[in-house]
Amino acid sequence: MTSRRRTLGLALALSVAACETPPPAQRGDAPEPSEALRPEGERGEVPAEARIADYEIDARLDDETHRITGTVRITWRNRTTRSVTTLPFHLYMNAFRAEDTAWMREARGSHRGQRQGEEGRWGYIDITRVTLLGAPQASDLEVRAGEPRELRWAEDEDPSTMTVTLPGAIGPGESAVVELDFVTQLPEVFARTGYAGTFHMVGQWYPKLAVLDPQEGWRNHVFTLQSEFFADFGDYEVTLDVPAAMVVGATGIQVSDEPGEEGRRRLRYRAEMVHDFAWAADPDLLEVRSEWHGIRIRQLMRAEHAADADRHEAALVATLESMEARFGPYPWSTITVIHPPSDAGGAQGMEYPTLFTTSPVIQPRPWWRLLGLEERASGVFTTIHEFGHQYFQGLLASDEFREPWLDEGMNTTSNALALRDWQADDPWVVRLGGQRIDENDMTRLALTFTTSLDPVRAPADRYLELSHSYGGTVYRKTGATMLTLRNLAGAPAFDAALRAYADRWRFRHPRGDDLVAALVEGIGAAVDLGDAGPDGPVRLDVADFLDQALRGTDEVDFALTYVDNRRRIGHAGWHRDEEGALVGGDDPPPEATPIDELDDAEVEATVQVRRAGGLRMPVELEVEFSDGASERIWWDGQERYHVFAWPGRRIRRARLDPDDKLILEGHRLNNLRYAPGEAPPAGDGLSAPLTDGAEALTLALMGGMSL
Amino acid sequence: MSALRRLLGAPGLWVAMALAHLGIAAALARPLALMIGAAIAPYSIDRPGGLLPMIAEVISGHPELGVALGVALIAGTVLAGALWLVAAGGVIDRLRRPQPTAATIAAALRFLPSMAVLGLYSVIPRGLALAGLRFDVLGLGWARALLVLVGWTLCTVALDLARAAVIRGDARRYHPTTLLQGFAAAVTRPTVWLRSALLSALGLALSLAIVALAARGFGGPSTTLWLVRLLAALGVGVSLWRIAVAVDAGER
Repeated sequence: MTSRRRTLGLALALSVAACETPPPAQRGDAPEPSEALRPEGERGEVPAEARIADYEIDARLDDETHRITGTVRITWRNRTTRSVTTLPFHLYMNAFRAEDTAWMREARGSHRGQRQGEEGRWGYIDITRVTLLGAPQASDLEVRAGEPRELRWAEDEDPSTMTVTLPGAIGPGESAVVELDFVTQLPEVFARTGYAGTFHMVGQWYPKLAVLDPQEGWRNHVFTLQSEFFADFGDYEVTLDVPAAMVVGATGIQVSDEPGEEGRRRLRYRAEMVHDFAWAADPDLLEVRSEWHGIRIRQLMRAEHAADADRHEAALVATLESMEARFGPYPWSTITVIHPPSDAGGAQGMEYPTLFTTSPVIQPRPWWRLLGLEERASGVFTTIHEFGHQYFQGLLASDEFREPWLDEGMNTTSNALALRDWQADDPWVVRLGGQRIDENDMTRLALTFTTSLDPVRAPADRYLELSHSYGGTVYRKTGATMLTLRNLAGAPAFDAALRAYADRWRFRHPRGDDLVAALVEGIGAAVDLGDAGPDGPVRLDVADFLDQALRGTDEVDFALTYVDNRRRIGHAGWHRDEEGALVGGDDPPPEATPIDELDDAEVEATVQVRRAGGLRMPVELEVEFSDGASERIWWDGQERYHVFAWPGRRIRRARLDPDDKLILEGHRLNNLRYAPGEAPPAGDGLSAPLTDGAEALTLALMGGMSL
Repeated sequence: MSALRRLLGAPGLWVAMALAHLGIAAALARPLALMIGAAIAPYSIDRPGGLLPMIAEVISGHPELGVALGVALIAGTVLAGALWLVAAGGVIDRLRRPQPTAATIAAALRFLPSMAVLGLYSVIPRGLALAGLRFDVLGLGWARALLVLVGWTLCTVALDLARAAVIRGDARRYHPTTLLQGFAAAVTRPTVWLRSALLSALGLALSLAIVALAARGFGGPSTTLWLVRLLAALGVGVSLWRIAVAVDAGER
């Protein structure tokens, strides 16, 4: 071997070794915050009455059996005017206990395209003891502090809920402390939670108290396929006993890390004013830390996803900036992003307070470059969406079972706005050569499928899996409704109304009516849209629009059913003069006279607009005349059709919704129409490009086969 | 005479074959254009950079358009195969020596049955080569694609050599051993195989270039289609050149 070859060989060996060097276990040195909430000056006021249920949890993970044994002590404050004699609980993990639970009956072993694991198919939570520790302010209870009392409990008809019977009533303003021992068996990762090898995603794993509604009493929904969660705010003190090698990411901040039994650690976490607690543990997780305006950002991922960290962080920071500006300050001092490994896909894309799971960025293939294909949605859009949930419903804690649109749909709205804020005026999602698809296009495509089967304002269990209507309706149609309203009402009015809603309902449980009321109040009952010609101005009735779009299943679809130039009605025929005598008798121009041969004064441009969809709302019409001039006019869209005429003008073409404001209109092909004889040389705008593309592909196949 | 000189000496053949290709592709696209036009009529679209959502909308409303596109692509491939089959005898004879057009056509017709039979025989090894894409019996992973490509080029050059031998009168017209002799000739003359394989690869590269050009220029100016057609015509020339390599090898 020559010296030169030796040097080359050494360099090659070093470069290979460098490639095989694992990435560092931690990147970035943003320290763990000392407080779970940001300083009051930055986060704003937290209403004291919002703190209702405090949880102290001590849990131990057995990473061999994937089982968690724990105790939860809950201090609950009755802030309503009702007295209660029972405490209902959610046992969410029991949704995966058997094939006949409400959740599994609908899911049939599948969730978001992921099948239930075959090895660890079932997950469950078993309550082994319930004790009333004391009710220092509950005078009716036959217990006092320091006198624990075993309580009776029973699972309800569906095992995802249970009811604890109290020995007496807890009255208004009183509180109680109960302690529950539980064993949670994690399933193989499925529907957001579970294990995959050494990775554990632990969500909805402990008994959670239901929410006491001042008017309706306890609200304790059965866990169904499309429903998520609902709980009161409170402070969490959680101790996790895990194998020493585990890297753990959890809701809130870590306040201590102490040695436990041999080979184990006891990690203590604190979260304030949250309504859930989730965590992930895996010995192979790498950590990327950063900080934004005092908020510690912590990403945990395996080496396979390490290259995605910067892209996710950019998306997260951009979304934080956007949402703080739009919906008020983010109150917590931390946010943790879990990147589930590739064999734990079912855990991707789920939100918990101050913690969410994301999905990987799709790595561009070499042939993408060949085709000019680019995308910037994979992975980062999950980060944008799941972070958005920190507001909708982490902070604005709506009932995700009763009104899933309030969190998923409003979050989708905020995601679109965040994407625009981040990408400025060019919010494309996918590009192919000179073609692009943006967020509005994605929404409209979803609207063309199954969004007219169920209304937006419906409980989660109304959306049956076989209808495939949940995603399109709850996420996309809500987003389209809100963005359409924003386009019509104007961004400043809409944004201010939404900000007022967010400010009013932070750390509370808003309902759909609260949001609608905030929008009507902020925007105004009606929005003046513009001139409708002789019929006067056209107004959008905000409440009526929202009612139709959110409670109904009608679609928005307008079509140009007639665009042409007609002979204007003149004075041919007999008419009476001032003395009452019949005069005139002129013939009209012959029927066959081409319009082109008539004087302009004898012609009128005519457009008929039809409301093909059932939803009544205004639409703007733009007409372009043959002399190059153009004019815009609004139609209120209340009737099924309307005819517009411009005497003395010749029309070239008409276009509905020229500024693309009606995001709620999924069908756009019928929005542009040329008058006969006025079609452009390029044809309809779609046939030629598609045909050219087909011809090119045919030629490529014909030549590429070496026949 | 080199293979390239044989090709350049037959410009009419090249032009005729290229025009036939372009004609087939254009003819197959025409019904599709009519269907799309009918699906959209009486409306138009004016979103030069936003055609993809419009395409999705029109196809979701008219799924038959997707079927029509698939049919056009499959029919194009089948017709291209048929064209090369029908013309094979004439193409090889013309690449062997200059001759009047009528003689070329006569050769094509005279040798058509033989060319077809040999073509049918070659389906078997080509099928085996393609099966390699589906079944990774050797556990080669992605390397099997390269192996399949090598196998495919071997089938191509073997068929070219066998057909050229038949046209020369050096081989039996219908006997399967003719194709086997083609394989033997290809394997024993690796430079011929290599040149043929390189030209096959060049043809494939031109096809990929067409796809890339069509994707990048989709919805753009009409010059894109003319560039695509130019590349396709070049591709036809490359295929003729590849056949000329086999013809030339047999003449030496």
